[in-house]
Formats: sequence, C-alpha cells, structure tokens
Amino acid sequence: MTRHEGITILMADDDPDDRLLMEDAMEEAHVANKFDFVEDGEQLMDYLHRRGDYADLADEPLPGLILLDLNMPKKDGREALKEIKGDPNLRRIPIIILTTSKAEEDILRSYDLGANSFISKPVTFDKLVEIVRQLSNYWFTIARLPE
Amino acid sequence: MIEPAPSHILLLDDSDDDALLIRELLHANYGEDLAIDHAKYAAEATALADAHRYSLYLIDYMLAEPPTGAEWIAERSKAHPLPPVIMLTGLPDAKEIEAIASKLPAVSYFITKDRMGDGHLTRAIASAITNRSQPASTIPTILIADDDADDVLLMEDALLELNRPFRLDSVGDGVELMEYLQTRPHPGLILLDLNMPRMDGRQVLDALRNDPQLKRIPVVVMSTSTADIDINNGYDRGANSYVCKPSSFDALVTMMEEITDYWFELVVSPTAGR
Repeated sequence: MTRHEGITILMADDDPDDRLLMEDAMEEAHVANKFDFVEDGEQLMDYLHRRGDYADLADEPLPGLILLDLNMPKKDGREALKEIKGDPNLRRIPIIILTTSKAEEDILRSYDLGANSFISKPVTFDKLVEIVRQLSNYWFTIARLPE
Repeated sequence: MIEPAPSHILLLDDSDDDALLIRELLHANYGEDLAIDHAKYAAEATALADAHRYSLYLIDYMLAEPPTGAEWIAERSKAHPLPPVIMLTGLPDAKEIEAIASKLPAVSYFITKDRMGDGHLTRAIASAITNRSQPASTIPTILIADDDADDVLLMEDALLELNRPFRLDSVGDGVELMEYLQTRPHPGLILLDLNMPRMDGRQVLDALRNDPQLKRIPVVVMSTSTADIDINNGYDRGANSYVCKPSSFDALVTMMEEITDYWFELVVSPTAGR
C-alpha cells in the first residue's frame, strides 16, 4: 500500500446511484483509497466534527479530499462549503465540487467560497472513470495534500 | 449570472445633486456598506486616488472647473494603473460620445446621466468589472510569480515543451503580481512561489483571498519547500493546490503537463476561456 492509499476520500452526495457509480469508477480506475459517503450537508458537518452518528470516528484522521455535490437536502453544498472554509480546523481540506450544475453563478460562487476545484459530473461512466483517474493522479501524485 | 459588486468607488462629479442621486442608486443596489468617496474637482480626485485602491471610478465628463473629467482620466492613465472606469455624460449625441471614447481607451462605458436610473448604471458597472476579470481571449494565461529568474525560465521552457497554446507571463514578487492583476486581464492560473522579496507568497494569498475581484483566481503554490507547515499554511490561506518544485527538468515537464491538464481540461475554471 502506497502512502496516499491511507487517505480517506469523502463524498457528499444525496443521490445513491451517483455514490454507487463513484465507487465502481474508483475500482475501475484502481483508486484504492478508503472511501466514505455522507448524504447531505448536515451529515457532512457531523462527519467532519466527529459527532452524532460519527462520534466513534473520533480517533480516525480527517478525510484528505472531499467530493462535494452542491444540491443536497437539509444543508446544501454551498452552505457546507462556506462552513468548512470558515472553520480554522477544517478549511485546509481540499474540496472538489462535483456537480451536474453548469450555472455560471454556481461556478463563480463556489470558487469565491473557497472551493479548491469545480468539476462537472460527466454523463457517461467511462468519462467518470477518466475523471477519477485524473483527480487521484493530480491530488495524490502531483499535488501535496495538507496533513 | 452572479452580479459582481464594486467595494470602493471614487466618484468625481461637480454636482452635489447628481452625486446624491448616484449614491442613492448605488446604495439601493449594492447595500449601505458600499464605500463611495466623492470628489468635486480633479485635484481632490487625484489626492483620493493616490491614497486608496478603488475598485471603480465613476467620472463626470464635464466639470465646472478645468481640467474636465475626461482630461483627468487621460492624464492619470498615463502614469497609473486604473480600475474599470465609467464616464457619466450629459451628451445626448451618440456620435460625439464615440469620438470622445476613441480618445479614452481607459473608459469601459459611457452613460448618459438622465438614463442612469433604469438599471443602466448598475449594468454598466457589472459589465465593466466582469470584463476586467476575464482574459481577452480564450487562450489561458499562466502567470508565474517567482523571484528566481532561472526557475522562471525553467518553468516557461517546461510549459513551452508541452506545445500547447498558453500565454505565459511572469512577475518577480508579490508587489509586481498585485500590480499585474490591477492592470491586466486576469490569468487562468497563478503559479505562486512562497519565498519572494517585498511581498511573499503568503501575503499574496491573503491579499487575493480578501479581495472580491481577485479571490476566485486559481492559485497553485509551487515551492521548493516540502515542509508540512508550509503546505498546511498554503491551504489555510486559500491556495487551490500545492506542488513541490521537482529537481529535474523532465520531472518539471511532467508536472506542468499534469497541472495544465488538470486546471485547463478537467476543472471548470472561474476565469479561463469563459
């Protein structure tokens, strides 16, 4: 196991199909990182703060990369993004917005709120595998992640 | 389309009534927090412009005392980088405005004063600011900020090696970088060194992320430091990503290829080609 495979990727997405597709795409792209899911912004904040249902994760390291959907119930991606990037203990975690939205407002606002990258969800599975391959190559091989 | 808002405006207008009207219009649209400094004469405008960094100039074409607003802008643009400029005129004649405009390239828009109310002024402001924050063409510019001239050359060579259409620019420190961003179309990506004289990469990140016009420009820190403290600090200050400068040229070419693939092919950029 190489060093980066110990890094957890966390995906926040309310669509269970998208979550399954991502899991398959990661396997296909040979990305062997630990992979966790949350379904909405509230769960995401509970996960990151290790509270509620996630209190038993208290001793685990925080995720190294967050894939964040914008449109989710309860607390949406925009609110969660703002909260995470405003929190001195969480803000350094790279957040990749992964959404079907191509709206100019969503793109600009995400960057203004501190998103590290904005990526459009592809329509085909092959393209998703390619995106996962490129994403993991860039963040785990080229870039240096915060500790 | 999100509406970009100015944060600090210099208004040069000799009419108190017009200034009041403009103030009301802008505060109604952007909220009471918008700072508007009002000068009635060119000399006052010069003093204010020297003392502050404005995000927009609103300039009356005619002034009761010479020089006119047009002459003031023409003069100032010779020696100073200007923010977007909107000129307010009483001229009803489109041809006359065109003739003046051709002599004043610094001015983004001309607005006739009696039409300011119908959303003309705020739309012009939005366009003036947005156009300033987009590159002139769809070829992305990569701006390298590094005080080591040899490193800049190596990075430029590595990017040229890729044989792709980029515009390459470089600046030697943070002060030059900030000047560049005030006067030139925004780059699609900034490759930022951490240790530079005058204003270092950390201070640059702070300045960019606190400026509503500049905060969305993607910044990749590119440093020789592999220390966790520098990496963490870079992300904490809002770097989009952090890479360590490799020691061989071949590795640098590979790295530049991956960086440009990622930022210009995979990612939807807030600035490049849009």
